[in-house]
Amino acid sequence: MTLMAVAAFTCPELLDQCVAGDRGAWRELHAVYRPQAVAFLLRLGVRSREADDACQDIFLQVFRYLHRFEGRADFRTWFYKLCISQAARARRRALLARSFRWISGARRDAVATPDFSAERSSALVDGALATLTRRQREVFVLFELEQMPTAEIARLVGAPPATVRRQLQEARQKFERFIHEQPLGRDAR
Amino acid sequence: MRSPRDPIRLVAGERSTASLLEAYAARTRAKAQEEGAAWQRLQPALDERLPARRSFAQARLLAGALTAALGLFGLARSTMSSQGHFPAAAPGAVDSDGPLGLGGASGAIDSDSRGAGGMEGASGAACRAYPCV
Repeated sequence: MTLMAVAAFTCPELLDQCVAGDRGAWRELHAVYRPQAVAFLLRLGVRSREADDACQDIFLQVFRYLHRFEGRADFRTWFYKLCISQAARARRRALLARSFRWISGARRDAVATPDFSAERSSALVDGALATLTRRQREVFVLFELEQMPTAEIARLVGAPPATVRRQLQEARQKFERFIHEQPLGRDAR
Repeated sequence: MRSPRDPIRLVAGERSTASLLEAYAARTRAKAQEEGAAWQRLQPALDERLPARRSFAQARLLAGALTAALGLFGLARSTMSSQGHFPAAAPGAVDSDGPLGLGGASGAIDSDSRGAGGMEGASGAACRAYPCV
């Protein structure tokens, strides 16, 4: 489903039905936004097995707080904001788990292996994204992969659009530098 | 979906980077949809079990509430009796088997005020039937 279709799908009536407790409406909302949320979380660097839990937490928050959503901003912006905060939480949890594993001397293979090792190109992009700072990655993913305009990203992350554009530029430079330094990236050229 | 001051997206720019990004986007999207499909497959089974689960949950809730109420009642009763709100042998104990007032006699002898009034009353009745020595 394209981004436009998702945006069109989330009509205020559907949100009203959800708030009124219509289970069918909730199911529709979940069906549309769950894949979006999982893909976004993966792109933000949340590992696939943690993305599922994070996604559940996101929908729990939507369920709890949707009645407070006043419709002044786009629902998608509100939803992505929840995703970003949940992704940060998931990354913190993962870091804690990694530290614990390191302290307890457990195996570290799950940490070192990227999720997309099956596809070298995806692994390459994942590696390039891993070189970005958290904010750079958020901005880059939102702009390049989620196809959001910078004005909307600025609203989402709570920064001026000019700052977002600067962060995006830095992220793109880092990303391209990494890609071109890798053998696969050079081959692709 | 692009404001005039936004740069051109990488997917619309250089071919190699664009293809990398497209492959990555497709990969993450497919992964998300795979997991979503698993949930969709699970949903009918969950729906089927919902009424049974709901009634079981309600029964458990009711049982829990009853247990808590009984526990509180028992606690309140034991607290009140330990504080002397249920005097063991007050003259004219309500639960006495014997005539009112007579049951109290044995209570007066038995200084242990923790005993239940009814039992003391019973002993009062016993004294009436079989005169205590």
